[in-house]
Amino acid sequence: MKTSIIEEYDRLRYNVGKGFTIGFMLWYGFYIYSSNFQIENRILKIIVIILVLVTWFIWTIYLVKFMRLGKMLKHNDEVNDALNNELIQHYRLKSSFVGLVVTMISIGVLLGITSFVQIPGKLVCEILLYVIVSAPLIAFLMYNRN
Amino acid sequence: MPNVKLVNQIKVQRAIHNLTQEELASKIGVTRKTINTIENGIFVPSTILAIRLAKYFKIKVEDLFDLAEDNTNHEL
Repeated sequence: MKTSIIEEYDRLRYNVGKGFTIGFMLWYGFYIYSSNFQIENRILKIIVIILVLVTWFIWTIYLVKFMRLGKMLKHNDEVNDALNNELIQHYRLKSSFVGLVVTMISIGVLLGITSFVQIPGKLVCEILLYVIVSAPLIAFLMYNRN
Repeated sequence: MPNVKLVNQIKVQRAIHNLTQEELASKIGVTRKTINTIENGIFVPSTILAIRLAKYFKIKVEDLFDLAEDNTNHEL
């Protein structure tokens, strides 16, 4: 019984993490596009706004699911310890390092681009925020895939 | 110093005790993935986890884990 509970929570955590990551990447990607680039076509503008709202809603659902999962695990120390075992901590550390490397590469690329074209500071900040959040999440999902 | 890798007898011990990876993981308090990665030599466990595994199988740690020469060519 306990065996299946640990594996069930592990699968749930993976799936929620996947939804959260995809949701964030889509929502923030569309948001960056809509808030930094002038869209002339009216229909395209409406489509992008709808996409921003829909993906924000999807991301929020997974954010709530993630928080609920954390709350559920708080009351079950045995399952919580099993799910946050040393392999997961090792993957978290590796993912953070991947995030750092990808962010440094992104900064380098953006610096290179600024040699040719001017990039607004707001756009740079948003792109870096996108990379800083997405890269470790993707790396963790890849390390921890089933 | 020659390259070494950690080899283990977890699969053999699991077979002796008639346990699946999932069942062993539950007894030790980790996930199936952790047992799987240790068993396949992907992840090197901490001393604490190694001792917990050895104690569960009622054998010495050095009987469960050993060092072997790694013949994989790591040079670029």
